[in-house]
Amino acid sequence: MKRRTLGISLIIFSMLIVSVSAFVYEQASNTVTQTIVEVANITLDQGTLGSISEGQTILYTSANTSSLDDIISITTTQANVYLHFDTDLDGQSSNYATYQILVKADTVQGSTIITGDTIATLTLASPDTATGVDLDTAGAWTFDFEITTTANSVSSDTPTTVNITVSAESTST
Amino acid sequence: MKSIAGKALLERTVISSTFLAWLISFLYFYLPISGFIKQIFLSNFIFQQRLTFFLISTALASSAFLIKGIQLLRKSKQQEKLSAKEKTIFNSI
Repeated sequence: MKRRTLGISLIIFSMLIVSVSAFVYEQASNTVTQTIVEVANITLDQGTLGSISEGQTILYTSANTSSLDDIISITTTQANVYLHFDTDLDGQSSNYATYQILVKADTVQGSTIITGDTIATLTLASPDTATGVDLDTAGAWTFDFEITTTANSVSSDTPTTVNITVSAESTST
Repeated sequence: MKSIAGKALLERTVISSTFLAWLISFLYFYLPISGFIKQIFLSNFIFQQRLTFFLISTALASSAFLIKGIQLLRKSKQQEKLSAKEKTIFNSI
């Protein structure tokens, strides 16, 4: 009798596993149709920005630093794709008094975002975007970076690297 | 006797490992897509990888439980038959 109960319990449990998995798979399928695309992995280091002296403030724009021109390029096939920025800028607060990255629109679609608009501001205090930037019309979009850095005093030459992950999602959060 | 105990232990280990693998893959896969963890790091490649792991572990765990369950039911039926036979023999004596 005990064996029979255990057997039935195991069979029910195996069905439960399949049911839970089917539910999760269904949810996952919805996520797949929403699709999260990693648009770019950007690294800002000496190779990109060159050196900076203690206390010096430098403004890097797409005009004086070619690598910042059209640094993000994305072609969307549907309206309302949200661009998210995630960086490790907060780890640089000991090396920099200021490290501000402005994401500026270059090639745009529709009329909500205009060329030259700052669509996101990333700083030491807020290294990620809280809500995504709405690319409201399908088409090709490009963005430039404008970076302002002020270096702190350091005891020796300090190489620094900032990593930025840009992803496109169907939701703003 | 020793080999029977060993076999039972092996069976138990296999079943609990498949269940553990399924549980891990479930948490690993479901938490990011359910929104508990920020979706931003879930690239398509990682997503597909986790989905594959989840589906494989589901197949293994459910099969393991199903096979063991059927085995136990069969044994229980055999036992019932055997008990009935013993009773008949005993009664006839």
